[in-house]
Amino acid sequence: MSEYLDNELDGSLCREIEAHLERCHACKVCMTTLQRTVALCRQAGKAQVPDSLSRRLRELIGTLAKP
Amino acid sequence: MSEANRCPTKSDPDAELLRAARSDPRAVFPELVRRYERALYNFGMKMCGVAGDAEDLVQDTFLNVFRYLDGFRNETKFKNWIYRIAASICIKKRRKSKYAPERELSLDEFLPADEAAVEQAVPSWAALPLDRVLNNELRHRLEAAILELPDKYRVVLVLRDIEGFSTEESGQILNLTPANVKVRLHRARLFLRDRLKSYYDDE
Repeated sequence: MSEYLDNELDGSLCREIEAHLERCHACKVCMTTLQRTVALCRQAGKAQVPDSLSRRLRELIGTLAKP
Repeated sequence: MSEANRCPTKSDPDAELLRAARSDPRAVFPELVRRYERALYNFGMKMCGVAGDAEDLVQDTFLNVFRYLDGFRNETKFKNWIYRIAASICIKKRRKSKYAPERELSLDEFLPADEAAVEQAVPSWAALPLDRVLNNELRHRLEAAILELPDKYRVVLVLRDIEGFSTEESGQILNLTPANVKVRLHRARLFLRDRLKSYYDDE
C-alpha cells in the first residue's frame, strides 16, 4: 500500500490495485486513511531555531575559527 | 581517488560552497550553519522531542561536519551526508540513554481483530479537506505518536515523510537497503494511522 502511495510500483500493478480498490470498500478505507496519515506528516510544522541554539553555534564557529 | 570523485556533482545545491571549502573550509562554516540549522533542529525535535536534546544533536552534528568536511567525497549529496551524521549521532545517543531492547512493529498488530472491526466508511479525519482537520491539537497528537514509534521506525518515517528524502536516499543515510526502508516506513505509517484512529474514535 505504501509503495502504491509513493508511486513506487509499475503501471500494471498500480492498475490492478486500483481495480481492486474499486471493488473492495474495506481496502479503499484502509488506503484513504493511510494516504491521509502521510499527508498529515508532510504538513508537520517547522519550528524556528531557538536563540540559545544560534548562540551555541556562533560560539562553536568562533572556537573553530581560532588558529 | 579520481578527480571525478573530488568534484561536487552538478545536481548538488551545495556544490559551489563545497568548492569554496577546499581552499578555506573555516570560511564556509557560517553559511553551512545558515543553510542547515533549521532543518537539523527540526529533525532533532522530531527524533528526540525535547528542545535541549535537539540542540545538542545540532551542535554535535555541526562539530562533526566541520571536523570531517575534508573527508566528504561527493559520493552522495552533501545534504544526505549531513543527515547521515545527524542520524548516526541521534541513534547512538538514544541507545546510550536506555537499556530496553528496541520494540519491533509487526504487521499483525495493525490487522483488524475480526471481520466486524473492518472499517466500512472513511472516517471524518480522512474524509474532510486537510485544512479542516489539521489544527494544533492534531499536530500535537501526531508529534506525540511519532515520538512513540521505536527509534528505527521513527527515523525512517521522519526522513521519508517529513524531510522528504527518497527511499534510496534514506537507505544511503541509514545504511539500509531500499527494501528495508520500505518495510519500516510502511509499519511506521500503520502505527501512526492506528494512533490517529484511536484518537478520533475516543472523541
